[in-house]
Amino acid sequence: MTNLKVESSGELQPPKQGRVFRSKKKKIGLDGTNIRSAKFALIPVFLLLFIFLGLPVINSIQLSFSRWGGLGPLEPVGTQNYKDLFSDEQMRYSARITILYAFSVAIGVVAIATVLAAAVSAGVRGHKFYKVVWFFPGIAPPTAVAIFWSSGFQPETGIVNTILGKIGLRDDYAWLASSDTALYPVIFVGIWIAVGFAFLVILGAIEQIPISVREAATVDGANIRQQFFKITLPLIKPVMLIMLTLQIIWTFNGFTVVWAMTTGGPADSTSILPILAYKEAFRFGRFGTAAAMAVIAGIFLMIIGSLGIRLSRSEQR
Amino acid sequence: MPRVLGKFFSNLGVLGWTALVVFPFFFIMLFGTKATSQIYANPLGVFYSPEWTNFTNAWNAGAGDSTMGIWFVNTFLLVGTALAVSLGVAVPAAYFTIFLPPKANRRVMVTVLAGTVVPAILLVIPFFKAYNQYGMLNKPIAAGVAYGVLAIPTTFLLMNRFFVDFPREILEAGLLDGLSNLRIFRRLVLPLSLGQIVAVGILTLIWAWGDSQIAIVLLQSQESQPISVGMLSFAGDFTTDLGTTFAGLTIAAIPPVILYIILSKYVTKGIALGGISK
Repeated sequence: MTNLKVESSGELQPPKQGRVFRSKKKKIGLDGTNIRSAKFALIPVFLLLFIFLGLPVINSIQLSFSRWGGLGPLEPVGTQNYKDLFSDEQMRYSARITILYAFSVAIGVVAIATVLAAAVSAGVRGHKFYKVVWFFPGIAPPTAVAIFWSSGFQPETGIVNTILGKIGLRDDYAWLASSDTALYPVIFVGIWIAVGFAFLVILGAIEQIPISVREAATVDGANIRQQFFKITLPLIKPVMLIMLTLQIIWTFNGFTVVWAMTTGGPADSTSILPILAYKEAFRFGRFGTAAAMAVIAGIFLMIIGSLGIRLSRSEQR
Repeated sequence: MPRVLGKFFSNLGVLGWTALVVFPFFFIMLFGTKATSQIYANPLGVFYSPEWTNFTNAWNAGAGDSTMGIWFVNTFLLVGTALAVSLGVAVPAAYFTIFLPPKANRRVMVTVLAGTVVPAILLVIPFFKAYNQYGMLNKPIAAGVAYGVLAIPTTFLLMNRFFVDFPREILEAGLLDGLSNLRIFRRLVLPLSLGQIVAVGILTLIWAWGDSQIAIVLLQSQESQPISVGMLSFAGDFTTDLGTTFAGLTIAAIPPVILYIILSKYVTKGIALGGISK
């Protein structure tokens, strides 16, 4: 720490005796002015979080028990919105595919990221290069890459289909135009975008395993595969579980990729809950039912989140 | 499993994934410089005369001149505001919180942590309602404030984790030299934390730059849209003109990737230091 600017600062004052004495006797952290500064600095944090997170959540809950068309006062309708949703076929379908989408992407992401991290930590050459390049999909705007992929899955003209054709498979399948298959390309792109981030996190966890642990295993005659399954995997399991939980939540909330690829279509077959709620509110002007959807999704995500954190904690002990 | 075979397969997997990652960026740039007729006739060919007009067409998409330029300006306004709000509010708070007694400290942590789990889906409609009520729709800076506040919890937690480990000797040295606590923060702590601040800021930047879920609701008029939302209508405008579509994708996707290559050191560091709580 030689580059401190204290020495060069023009306002250097002779040290005050009292201060020196105090700072040596007491811990600096107990200094009264810092505690006062902390309280002062925390005011905007809590104020803003209350305005932009607390109030909207309360507002959403209130809206979910009302009817509102975008203008004028709310009209309270009790639990009608929820009753409507529970008997709505599209809502039940959307909830199912949202869970399917979120879990497939999350499991795919964590599995691929773990394999890649294991390969890189086992000493594949050029790992610095991979660390940089594999994050490209997470950096580029999701809208842009999603548009690329959706054009790639067009029959015959799309680049994915062209390449499938070149290697002898059929190239005329309209992946995104059929309700039965449209979700698969979306899952693929969701995984493709998110692996880079999970890879860096999991690699970080692997690199924190002390070398002595591995050396001990090598001395005991464990081969690479045994080392991975018996040592690495159990030790990084808590991080994998956290990553899985977060990825489920992020994908569940993931509006951008799906909207850019399919806008929820064809025939609402890829309308995950955030898209269904968006359409319900901003296309059909039914803000009350949209808010009810959001509340149901929010409760589900909070359950998933606390479950994931609890699981990962119990793994750590 | 013989060691050589294992090495072979891990190299194969690593190279395969790299190809899959690079593939779209390669074709986005390839098609962006190709005439549409060429894309249909010979998509995989790499020898062709470039069609640079694709880029001017893309830049002037939609109704007016330099539509993409306006989207870029809006993105800069939005992201800049988001960074100013999240860093300006969360960094000082994260620093001074380390001096609180442990019990108060934990209470602050739990409250802020709760802020990271609120799903965006719960916020969009109330945001629209409030912004509409106060006449703040279609203003990129106003939308940027919302993005900034949503980034505060993560910024706070990551910066706090960094400040907790900040060497106390430096703070004490500052005190010895007669600096006030505020000066210590401004003159000593901030300059020495720049790397971490950049790393955390980049995480916010990536997110605010790419997200469309909040922006599509708060910025509905075309001249107020950021690039992430503008591109959504863009694809529809040029369904038959692939060359222009891909030129537009090049303009939208390549600058962040180049910026990332330059700053990649900070990004990897930011994630390694606990970007997991994003």
